[in-house]
Amino acid sequence: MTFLYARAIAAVAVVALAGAGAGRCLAPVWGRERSGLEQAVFAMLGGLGILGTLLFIIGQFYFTRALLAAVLVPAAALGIAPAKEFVARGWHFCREHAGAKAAAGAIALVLLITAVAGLAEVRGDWENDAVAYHLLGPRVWLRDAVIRPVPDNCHTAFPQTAEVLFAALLSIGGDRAPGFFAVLPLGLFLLAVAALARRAGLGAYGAWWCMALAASMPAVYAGARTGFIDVWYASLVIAAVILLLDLRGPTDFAALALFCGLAMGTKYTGLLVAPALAFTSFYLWKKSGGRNGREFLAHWTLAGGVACLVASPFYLRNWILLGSPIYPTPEALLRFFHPKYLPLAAIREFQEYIWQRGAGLGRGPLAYLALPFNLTYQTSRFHGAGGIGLAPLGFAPLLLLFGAREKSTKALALLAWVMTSLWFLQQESRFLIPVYGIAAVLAVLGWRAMLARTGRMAAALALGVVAISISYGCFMIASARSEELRRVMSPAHAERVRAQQIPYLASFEYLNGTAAVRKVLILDRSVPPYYLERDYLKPIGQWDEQVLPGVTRAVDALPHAKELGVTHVLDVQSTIAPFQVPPNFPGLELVVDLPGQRVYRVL
Amino acid sequence: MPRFFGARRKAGMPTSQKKTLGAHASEGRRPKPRRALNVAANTWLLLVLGAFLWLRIWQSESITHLRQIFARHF
Repeated sequence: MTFLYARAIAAVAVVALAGAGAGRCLAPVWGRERSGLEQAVFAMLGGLGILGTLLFIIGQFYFTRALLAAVLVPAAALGIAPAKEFVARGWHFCREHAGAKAAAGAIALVLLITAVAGLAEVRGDWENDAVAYHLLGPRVWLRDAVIRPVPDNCHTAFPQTAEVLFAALLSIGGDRAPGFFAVLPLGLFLLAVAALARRAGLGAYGAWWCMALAASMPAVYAGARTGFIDVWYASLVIAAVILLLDLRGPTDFAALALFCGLAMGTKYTGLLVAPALAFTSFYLWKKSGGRNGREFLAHWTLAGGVACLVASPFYLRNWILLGSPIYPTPEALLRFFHPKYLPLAAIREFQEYIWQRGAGLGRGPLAYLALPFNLTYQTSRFHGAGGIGLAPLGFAPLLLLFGAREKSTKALALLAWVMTSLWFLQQESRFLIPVYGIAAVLAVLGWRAMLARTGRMAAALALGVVAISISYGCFMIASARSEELRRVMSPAHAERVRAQQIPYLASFEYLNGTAAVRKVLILDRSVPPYYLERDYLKPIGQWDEQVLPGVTRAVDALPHAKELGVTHVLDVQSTIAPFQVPPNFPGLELVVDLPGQRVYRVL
Repeated sequence: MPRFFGARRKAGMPTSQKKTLGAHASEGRRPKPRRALNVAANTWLLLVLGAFLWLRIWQSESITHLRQIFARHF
């Protein structure tokens, strides 16, 4: 077990160093005039993002451990010097500003929980996105030695800067590495929030409190768990926002475009961020006097071009291989694109599912107005997101009351409002994480403005709000990860509950451990193939993808099993369907017969 | 040694909390609290805290369970 953990930690260290090394090459884009914190955050985020994009492009042709080593090792060697400098600066800062102990303690607690719980084995069924697709794609790419969307899960065609890094981690660090990696994007997100706080005019201690508030938001943490990419995506958006507040010349626009492009290459929601940033930039430009309109327009045209260029590999690949740059294709785009493998009914069902998921907080104008209240208190209606603490609702309105004087504060509030309004159409809590980061900064700005003009009673109440926000958030986060923490601390417990947490474990163990198994036919669409270490065929995918032409029911593939190269068939009795192999089906021999799961050998 | 977070905190802030937030130099001298603003801020924060205590603590499952046990015995 110790070897597994050590290997995972070493792999994350190598990827982090490689990110720092790649970021070092990008440093001229944002220049040397920025603060040490901003430079470090931009270098790590930009470096890891570009590394993911580069590996994605090469991986379209060849994707093996040798290739990963050839890219990561030189990049990691380049990253040693900047990483050493970063750690030294961080250490000095912590010693210099030892006053914010409570904030630092909360941050350290959340990072520690993430690191330790991340070492637990990835478990869960098809409802766990990490198992269903974030880690399924990387596992299949490594097996096939090429990056291709997995035809039975359309979500593996999503933009993939993060998933490519997961593949590198799986390859060199084993299956615990992606979980432990979660601590790196979360740490970078918090540092990005701190850099934004400094850019918005807060002092070092204000930045610490922003980090503590963001770290203890359970809704933020929901996007930082094993295999989730939302906090990584949010960090890229926050980096773009930092640049937005201080756009001076073409290189700043290019740097902003780089992070916008990486956000678009990480999640489709990144496509909505660029217009929101452009709108806020227009506001800032008007506030600055609105001179040189042509230059402003030219800069944004350049930025748009660079962002599209950075994100283009992911969208072009989908267009070429799957018939649509955005896949699963929204129904409105079906007039222009003709996606493969995904029938219209499946597309509609998927969109219906997305719409239903966002119904928890309501759709009408009243629900829109009640959003701040619901985001704070009605956390149970939010798919386990767990709320954002009291501080944003408690302090951000006080900014209005006491008059937000600074342009950057007004711009942040405007951007948060625009992004929240766009998000309201969909309402998956994790997609709003960039706004939660901005909300933490606005909250501390409000807290500061309030303290300057109110008495002791308000100061005491404010302390109460902050204390409850952080302590309640940390409690929720620790509770949510208690099971994984227990599994890491107690291997005996982990082994005891393994069969309950991994569906059809006995069948997977048989298939993975039998040399004669070459290709498995999976009949039930709810079976997560992440646990299968062999090649497989799933005729009907999780979202009703049709992998084989003309096969609309999985069982119709059975007569063709031999010619498809299938050696074994996995049939299960799941929550959505009974066993599918008819009794005494010719050409099959039952080799595993357990409650709810059967494995057949193809004769 | 370049400072990790940039500027140091400003000296002379009137309260410890203001120090922790790195208030601006312009806010270094505390203006006299305006009564209306003070009351509005206090009321708002009390409402936020009260709503939390009511919705997230008092109505939580574990507290509801404890309340039921208490009601049964006393």
